[in-house]
Order: sequence, then C-alpha cells, then structure tokens
Amino acid sequence: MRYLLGELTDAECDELEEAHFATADGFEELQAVEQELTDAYVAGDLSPERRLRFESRLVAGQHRDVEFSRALRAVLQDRQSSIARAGVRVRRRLVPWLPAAAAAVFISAVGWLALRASRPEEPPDAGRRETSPPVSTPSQAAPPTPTVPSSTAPGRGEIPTDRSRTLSVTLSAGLTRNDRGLRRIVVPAGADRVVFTLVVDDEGPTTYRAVLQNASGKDLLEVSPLHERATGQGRVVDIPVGAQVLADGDYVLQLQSPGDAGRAEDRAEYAFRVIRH
Amino acid sequence: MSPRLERTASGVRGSLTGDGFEKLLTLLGPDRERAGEEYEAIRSKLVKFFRWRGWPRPEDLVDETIDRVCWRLAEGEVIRRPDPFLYFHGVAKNVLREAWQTQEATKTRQAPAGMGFSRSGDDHAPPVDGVDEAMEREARLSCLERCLDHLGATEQELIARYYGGQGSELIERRRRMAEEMGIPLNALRIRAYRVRVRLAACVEAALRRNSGEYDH
Repeated sequence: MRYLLGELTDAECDELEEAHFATADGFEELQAVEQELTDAYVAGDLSPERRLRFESRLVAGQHRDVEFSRALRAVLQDRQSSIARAGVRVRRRLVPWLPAAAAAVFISAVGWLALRASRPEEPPDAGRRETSPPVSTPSQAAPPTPTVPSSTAPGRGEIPTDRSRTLSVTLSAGLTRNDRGLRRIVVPAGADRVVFTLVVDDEGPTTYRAVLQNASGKDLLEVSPLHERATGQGRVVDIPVGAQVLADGDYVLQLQSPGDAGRAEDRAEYAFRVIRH
Repeated sequence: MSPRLERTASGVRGSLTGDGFEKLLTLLGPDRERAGEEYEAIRSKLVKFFRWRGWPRPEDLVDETIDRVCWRLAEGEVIRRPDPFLYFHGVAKNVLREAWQTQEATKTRQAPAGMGFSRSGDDHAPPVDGVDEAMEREARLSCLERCLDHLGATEQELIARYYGGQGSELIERRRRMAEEMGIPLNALRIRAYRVRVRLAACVEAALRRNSGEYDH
C-alpha cells in the first residue's frame, strides 16, 4: 500500500516493481492491493493523511473503481445482516392517539386538500421511480404534521421550505423488498426531504398515522393525520420526512389506523435501508 | 486487430516511417490478433505503472513510452528480455523521470490538471445532479446483486468473506481464510481479486445494457 500511496522512495519503487512486474501474479497482486486500498478508503479505514494522499492520486477512470467498491460494500453489508434483520421484530403496539388525531383532522384537512389540489399531475411512471427531480413544496399548504418524540433533537422532521430537494420513494408493505434483501434508498447529500409514498394494500380506513422507527424499534418521527389518495397504483399515503432524520441504517415505517376504543391498530409495515451519499 | 491498435498503427507508422511499429507487432505475437492482445495488455500495464507512480495523466506518458520503444526498434535495437513489458517498463521509468523534471521546471507540478476526481473542474467526473447520482448508484447496486447471484456458491462465499467487513477484523478473517484453504495469503488475494474483476466487468456490462432504460 505504501507504494500505491506514493510513500516509497524512487529506489524502493524500482525494487518493488522489479519484483512484481516480472511475473503475471506479481502484477496482479499489485492490482488486488490497489482494490483493497480503495475498499479501505471507502470504509473510512485510512488515516486522514493517507485519505488525502489517496484522493490526490486518483486519476481518470478510477472513480468507477471507487463506486464499485462502495457498491460491493453496501451489498455485502446488506447480505451479512439479512439474518439479523430477519430477527428484528418491530414492536407492534396499540397507541391511544386517536383523540388528538381526530382533533387535528379538521384543522389539517383544509391544508391537506390545498396541498393535493396544488400538486402537479404525477407522471405516468411516478410510482415506479425511486427518485424524482426536485419539486417545490407549496408553502401555503399544510401537510400532515410530523411530530418528533421528545427524546430527539429539536427541528428534526421539519418540512423543508420551497425549492427544497425532494426524493420521492414508493414503498410496498413488507419487511423485505425481495429475496435479495431490504429495499435500499440512496439519499443524496443534497436532499432536504424524502416523501415516502406507501401503497396501501387492504381495504379499510382512509385516515392514518405513520411512525418512523429505527432498527432498534425507537420512534424517530410521528406523522399524523394522513389521508390516503387514489393513484394508478391503487390507494397510497404520502409521508414527508426531513432528510436529516435519515442517517445510514435500517428503518421501518409503521402505518396505523384508528381502532376500537380510540386505540391505534398497526395496518402495515414498510421496511427499508437508507444509504447516505 | 483492435480499433485502438489500428489507430496506433496508422499514427505510429506515420511518425516512424512504419518500421518500428511493425517490428513491435512482430515481437509481440505470431499474428496480428495475438500481437494486438499483447499490445493492449502492455498498454494497460503502463497506464497502471504511471498511475501508481502518481502521474496525473497516465495516457500521455503511455503514448510517449510506446513511441520511444517503436523508435528504438526502428533504429535497430533488439529487445532481449523474455517479457517485452519489462523493456517497456525501463523506458517508462525514463519517460516518467523526464516528465517530472519538465513539470518541475515549468512550475506546474503543484497543480497538475486532472488529479483527484473529487476536485472541482475535474473533467473525468463532472459534477452530477444528486438525484441522478443516487439513481445511478441504485442501478449499480441492483446490477451488482444480480451479478453476485450469477456467481457460483463458492465464489459468492469467497467474495463475501474476503471483502466483507473492515479494519483489523477483516485482516484477521483473511488470514484465517488462507489457513483454512491451505494457500498463502497472496494467492488468496489474487483469487478473490480475479472474481472481483469478473464481477466488476459484469456490472459495467449490465449498466451499459440498461443505460437509459433501467427500471427499478
């Protein structure tokens, strides 16, 4: 690695090259070490000095190696944690939230309708894309209210202002996206907000509450009241979440509805993994 | 013969009265096809060499190195080393030394263009929109998953164990793997690297195929 980072003298470089360039295996080994150096860079295993040195020596075409290394790391982490993930059981609990939500329904309904009315018509493939171009949030509209549990930092979960960069994600219910693992959502550094569009499978209520939980089952955000809307995909519910709430990690969005005796009933769970870039 | 070799052949012929490059091809293989493959392999190694030595624009010096070798061959020099690349390597070291000296003399060494893909103004990794970038990364991840699934079970395990994890735990795991497999660590490294190269090629091919129409 010292050779690849330019930490050897010319004489030492000559010596190493004489030894490694003379055989196919030797040259290949240098290439293998170069990949491992890239992995170490991506994993954050390099010292600050070496990190800078690595970056200063990157040339055209190498960004592809870095991207591959980053992808390999993400996929392997995903697979390695699949067993642990299967063991994660999201708390299913009943919450007496209905009275407060009912009071807020009327107040927010007008704003929510305004938001829906002013929303530009969705493109035909809107539900199939994981990301979308930035859209503006109408400032005059009052979207569903995200409520941050008291244990979290103030300001988390705020709805971004106009001109914010919004990532749109459509999720189907279930703990896994497919047999390859959790649905991954790559949240770019510039994103201000993620709007989760949850596809509602079963017939039932039209008013919901959503709770965002991390992998430990800790509540990070509550958004209510939420109203379903009809799309080409069926009935969906939109959950706006400030991007700052979403660090790297696994999450579950629980969709709840009013149940008997004012208690909330879990309707569906939407699991996903966030990868920040 | 590869397109690059054809271009190089015509270009070098013009500058060297043809003789040097023809001699080089004769040296590299019994026919044009084999010679072309060997030429590409040498070229690729030279790119690596200049990159590893920290030169920001390897391709420039690769061309210069090949030109010089062709000139020498045209002038009657005979390459006696069993592996022609070692001869190229010797020439390349001189080319690099001169390049550093020239750069030092012109006081441009402090800010060579093209170093570091993360710097602004870089021409090989232009800034991309964050959302597009995220989509590209998601496409890469999906392709990689599919390519991984196409590997045999043994190779999948090799990749997962060798490249999964980080830090000191990873180093220890690799050492244990080599012990279990009864091979030196270097041999294990190369074995894993070869699978990784195939995997990377599979991903790039899938991305090219799906370019513009990839749907998640």
